[in-house]
Amino acid sequence: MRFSLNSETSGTKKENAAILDELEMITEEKFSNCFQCAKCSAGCPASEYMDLYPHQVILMAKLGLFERIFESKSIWICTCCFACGSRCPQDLDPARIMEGFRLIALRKTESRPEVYPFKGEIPRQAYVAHYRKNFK
Amino acid sequence: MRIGVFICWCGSNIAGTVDVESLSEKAKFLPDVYYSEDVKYMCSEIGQESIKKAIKEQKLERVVIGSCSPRMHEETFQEVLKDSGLNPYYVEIANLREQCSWVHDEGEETTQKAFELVEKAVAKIRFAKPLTTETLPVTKRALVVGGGIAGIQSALDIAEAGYEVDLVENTPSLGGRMAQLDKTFPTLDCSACILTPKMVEASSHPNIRLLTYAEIEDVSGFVGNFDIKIRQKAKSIDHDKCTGCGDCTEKCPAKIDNEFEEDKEIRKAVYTPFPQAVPNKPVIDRDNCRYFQKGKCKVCQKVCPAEAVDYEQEDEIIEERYGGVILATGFDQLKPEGWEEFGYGAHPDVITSLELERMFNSSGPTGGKVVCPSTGREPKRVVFIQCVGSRDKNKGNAYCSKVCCLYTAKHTLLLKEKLPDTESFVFYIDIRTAGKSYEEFYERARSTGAKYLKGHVSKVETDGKELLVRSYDNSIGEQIEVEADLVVLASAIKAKGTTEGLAQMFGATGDKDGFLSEAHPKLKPVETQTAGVFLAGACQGPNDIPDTVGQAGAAASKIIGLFNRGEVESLPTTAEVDASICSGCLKCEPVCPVGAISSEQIEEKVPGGVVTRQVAGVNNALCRGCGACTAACRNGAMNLKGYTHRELLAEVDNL
Ligand code: SF4
Ligand code: SF4
Ligand code: SF4
Ligand code: SF4
Repeated sequence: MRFSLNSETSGTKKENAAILDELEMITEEKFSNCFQCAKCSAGCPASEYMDLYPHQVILMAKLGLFERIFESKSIWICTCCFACGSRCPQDLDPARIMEGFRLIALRKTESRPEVYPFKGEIPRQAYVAHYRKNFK
Repeated sequence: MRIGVFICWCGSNIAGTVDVESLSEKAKFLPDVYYSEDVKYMCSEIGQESIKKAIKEQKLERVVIGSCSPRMHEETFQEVLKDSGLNPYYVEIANLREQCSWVHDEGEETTQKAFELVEKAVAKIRFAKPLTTETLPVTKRALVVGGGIAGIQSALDIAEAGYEVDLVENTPSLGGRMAQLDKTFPTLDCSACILTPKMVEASSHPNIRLLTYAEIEDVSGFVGNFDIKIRQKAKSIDHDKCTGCGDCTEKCPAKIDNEFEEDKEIRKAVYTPFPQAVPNKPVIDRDNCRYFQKGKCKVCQKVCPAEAVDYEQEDEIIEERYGGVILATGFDQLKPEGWEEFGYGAHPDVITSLELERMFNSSGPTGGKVVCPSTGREPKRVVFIQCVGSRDKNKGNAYCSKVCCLYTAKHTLLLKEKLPDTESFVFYIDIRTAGKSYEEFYERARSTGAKYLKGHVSKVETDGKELLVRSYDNSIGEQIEVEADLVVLASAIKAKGTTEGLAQMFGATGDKDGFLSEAHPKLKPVETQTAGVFLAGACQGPNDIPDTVGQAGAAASKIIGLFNRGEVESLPTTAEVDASICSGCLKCEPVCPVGAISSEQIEEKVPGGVVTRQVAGVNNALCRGCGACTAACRNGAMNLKGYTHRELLAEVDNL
């Protein structure tokens, strides 16, 4: 496979910049800090069911490849176990980033992908996220 | 003759594989050996005391020590003999560690080899003659070659300690590579702002004589007293009269690629290299001047209000004696011309990092604007490629250039500042940030938006509208292509081509990459193999500014130490001619690398009178004891003191 970075995917493009802004607001995470050590993916218990590993999701977000993230199963498969965030040497929380993508996807229901099986219902990750928000 | 043999265990280093006790017993039966002993650590104070005690009690006259390499402790043991009232050169070392115990397994054969090594050392010391050294006064004047930050700093340090320094630079100005930089990592201070004050200080320091536009012509002598000829190239401008007004430069019709701007701008034939140059007065580059090349022009002379232009000026040879020398000749950056993969030279928008550096600078060719050279427009997407020609055994150099990771991070930050909407992508193999605050600086570059992609670039396609950079992203595990407006190559730091010849004059050696070799990679980092010649900065290997300044200070302190001592000991192991055998063929003369041999006339009694005859003579002050002449002499008349034919043959006979 090959992917391309050009004026379409460019982070300076208006839509992309808006998505990144929204993500950073929702997640309070600074994506750019990630240096791709892949420790998050190394310890992720759900990774075998994912099509994109957590570190790949983060890199793609940095590169503005949002389509591929919204299309991926991974953001729905993440169990919010927070194993990744407890280990990340850059003190990032990939789980929150996964959650950010889910939230954006849910807000725009039309972009909710096929892989999410419970159409019309609240996904269970949303509950988890809800509790966590209250705890924070 | 009474010889004592001392066998060192070196902890388990030797005793682990060699039976040191039986070895010591057996050594007692060697000719002239009156005493032998084995000691756990011979180099320790206890070990040294036991040698002294034995010398005294057993009335030993010569000593053989079976221990580590003489490189490590020969001097230690020579001191022991000196303290005991013996000639320090009456000690011979059998290298039982590097040449035996470390390279063989435990066993009888190993112990036998150790014995034979001791046996041959005993054989040699029986023929040893006492050697003496002279103390010679040191000339307390230093020479620093190279006027970049390394040279400037070492000259200042020596001058501040109260000694006189000549600072020789072959371009018309001090400053070196650092002067070309816009900002410096990891603090982003402006390079000129921190460098110019040092340049000015060096040029006005009462203890520093600045010789710009000058080259080393010839070197002779040795530590303490190097006799050096310096060629002061004709500047063709009388700097006493010149006011630095710049009228000549403005009117000069000759246009030449400006090396200070990485050839991206032109300069004139009469020029000062850059606005903050020190001295800030022009020289005429005769190779490119119309008058010197074609005989017609003299425009500069006509316009010069101070009548400073002097076409008749000639190169001048300055002869001076120096006690010590620092080589600080800097580096070059590789230009990957003709390397198909990166498109450098094939497309104007593929540039080197130093070319970008000049673009950032407000006095640079673009007045501080970052643009695509092909269109003059601002780039929207800039791709940085690291390790171009570094860590590349195929076309470049095997080593890491050390500074590129950090300056690339710096470039992405400067770019963000100048063009906030422009994206930076950095392709890398590894990011190496070994240095104080360097990792934090890299982090700052990332968090400011530079996108780091792990993977080297296979090809920059130059035929489309935009440049297309092809690579493979190791994180995502897919090929990647980036459309770029500007591609910046972090091209390797390489040794200067001119360094080798210069180093040879000083007896300094180069490493496999052409950088100058330090005497020991850990313990003698600024020394060379030639006593009194030191290294500072990137002539020794790729280096950043903080380390360069550190080296410069270290090299300066070595010189200051030498001058404070005020005297040096001459080499005892020089060549010696036995005039009675020498036939005067002088085959030895051309093989001597330092020109220590010349012909001498001696008078000899022969039946029926006295004749005068030619023989070889060795200048002990120049001879470095390499021994080349001893091998060249067909009569065996030439001997190296401490390594005479007699001594060496005695060793060979016993092997
Ligand atoms: S552990 Fe942290 S720094 Fe490492 S890849 Fe994952 S998010 Fe990035
Ligand atoms: S929180 Fe999600 S991404 Fe992180 S380790 Fe758990 S399942 Fe994997
Ligand atoms: S004489 Fe030479 S340096 Fe002077 S103006 Fe003419 S070309 Fe330039
Ligand atoms: S040993 Fe001989 S060849 Fe070597 S430096 Fe001395 S005189 Fe010259």
